[in-house]
Amino acid sequence: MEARALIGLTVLIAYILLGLAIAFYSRRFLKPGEADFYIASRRLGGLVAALTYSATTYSAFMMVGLVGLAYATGVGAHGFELAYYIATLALLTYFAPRVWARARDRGWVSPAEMLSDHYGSKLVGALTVLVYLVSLIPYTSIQVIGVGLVLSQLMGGEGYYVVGILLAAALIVAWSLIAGVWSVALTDAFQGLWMLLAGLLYLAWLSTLVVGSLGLGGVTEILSERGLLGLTGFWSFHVFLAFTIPWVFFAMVHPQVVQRIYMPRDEGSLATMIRGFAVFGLLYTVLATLIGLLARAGAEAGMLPYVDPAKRDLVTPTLLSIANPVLSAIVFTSIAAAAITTADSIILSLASSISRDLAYRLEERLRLVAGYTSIVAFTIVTLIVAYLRLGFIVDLAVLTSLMLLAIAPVTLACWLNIRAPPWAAIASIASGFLVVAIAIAENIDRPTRALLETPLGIPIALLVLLTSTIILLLGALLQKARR
Amino acid sequence: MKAYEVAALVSLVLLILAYVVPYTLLRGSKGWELYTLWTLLSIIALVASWVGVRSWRREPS
Repeated sequence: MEARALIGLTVLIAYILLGLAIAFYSRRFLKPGEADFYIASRRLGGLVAALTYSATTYSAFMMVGLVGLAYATGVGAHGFELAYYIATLALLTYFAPRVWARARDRGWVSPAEMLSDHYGSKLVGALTVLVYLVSLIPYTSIQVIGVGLVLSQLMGGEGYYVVGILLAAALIVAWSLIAGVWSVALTDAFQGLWMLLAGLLYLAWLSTLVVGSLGLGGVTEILSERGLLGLTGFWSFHVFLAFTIPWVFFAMVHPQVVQRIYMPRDEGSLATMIRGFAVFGLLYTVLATLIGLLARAGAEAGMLPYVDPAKRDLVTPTLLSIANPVLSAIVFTSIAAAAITTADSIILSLASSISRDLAYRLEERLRLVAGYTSIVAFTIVTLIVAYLRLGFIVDLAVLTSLMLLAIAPVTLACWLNIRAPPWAAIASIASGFLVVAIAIAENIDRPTRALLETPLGIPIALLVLLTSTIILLLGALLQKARR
Repeated sequence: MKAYEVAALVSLVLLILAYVVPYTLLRGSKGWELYTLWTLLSIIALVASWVGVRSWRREPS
């Protein structure tokens, strides 16, 4: 085994052992019952809440996808990610204390339960769970695929892909089952810090190399000449809208982050969670986009290997193949960590929905068994998808936030405490999802193109929102008129 | 209005600016102006949120 692979393996093993030690340590906090297993009985401290929120939100996309997007399409990638960031801060600052307080009063554990309770129908929750499953299983599979690819790069052989996806699946199941959200949140905290540290080291190395040689003026000149500091042809306003609208509602529709609002032990901890996320999110985004831009400047100047912008996801693997082996191992492991933190949080959140929204007629002990079984079952499904690398399902991962957008209007109405009949909530979710399904069916050979569809001249994301909102509002008005 | 409501409103305005300014005033810019604009808007949102959430305990929802 060559030295680079050996160092990579050593860092990876250290990461796994530390993670396992933290997961087992977290068992001391676990108490019996569903509320503790899924939402820590609403007694999570602010710092851990902030790190688990951040690590869950930011997936392997940041250091692979976003770095590549900035490299290939320029500064627009920065705006795309920060539009999400500003919107999330607005949503959390305004709604988080209300949602947190209502979750306590009403005993919500799963995110779908919030909607069932507000609209007074378990069917609303069940439909929401169905949308979660269809939307999030591909997204989770992508994270598992990411770990497989990272291990192949780290060890320098395609044969390690299967080992990587098996390792990811094992860690997801272990860190979810050892102590439920306690082990997930505490390992998230450790992994979140690792992600941030790795990002800082990655940028420091690249800055020293590129800015140290070309100077800031040289970097600016190269990027400016190629139009990468302005809005490139890629970032037409239509594309910017299509990319950002689904992400603007991320904090409202992704169950793994909505559920994290329930967890802090008091309003002070909730405030710390949002502040911590604010600092982490801005820093991590700036790091990722600067890395992408500097990598492009270095490549254009002939200092770094040139990656074809059409293969932008190869930027980080290519750069790390020439970086110091220790740095390379730390960054690769941070990408695996980002993937696993996102995947285990989603799977635990989906399991809570199975327990609370589908198996609600069972007694608590059996509901928990249903949850444990779901964790294993969902992980096996994502593992199979990752193993087979089913093109259609992998493509669907890009559309996750678009598919989940169908839940945005019913969630917003719930958070604003606007009442509507259950049939209107069901019709709202179903119609929004149907719009996306039609767009996917029309692009069945390449579903990712659905994101850029403009039926009736309206961006698809906006059409989903409009359809779901109008139906829900009609229902609310009809209910009001009847009264 | 309570401080956190003002903070959320500020962030909403910043979000609109993040869409409008790059495609109007800064269309065609070639330097770091766009990068700086988006980063600056985010820093203001961070500060607004930081200050806004402090009011939760004093102004219970």
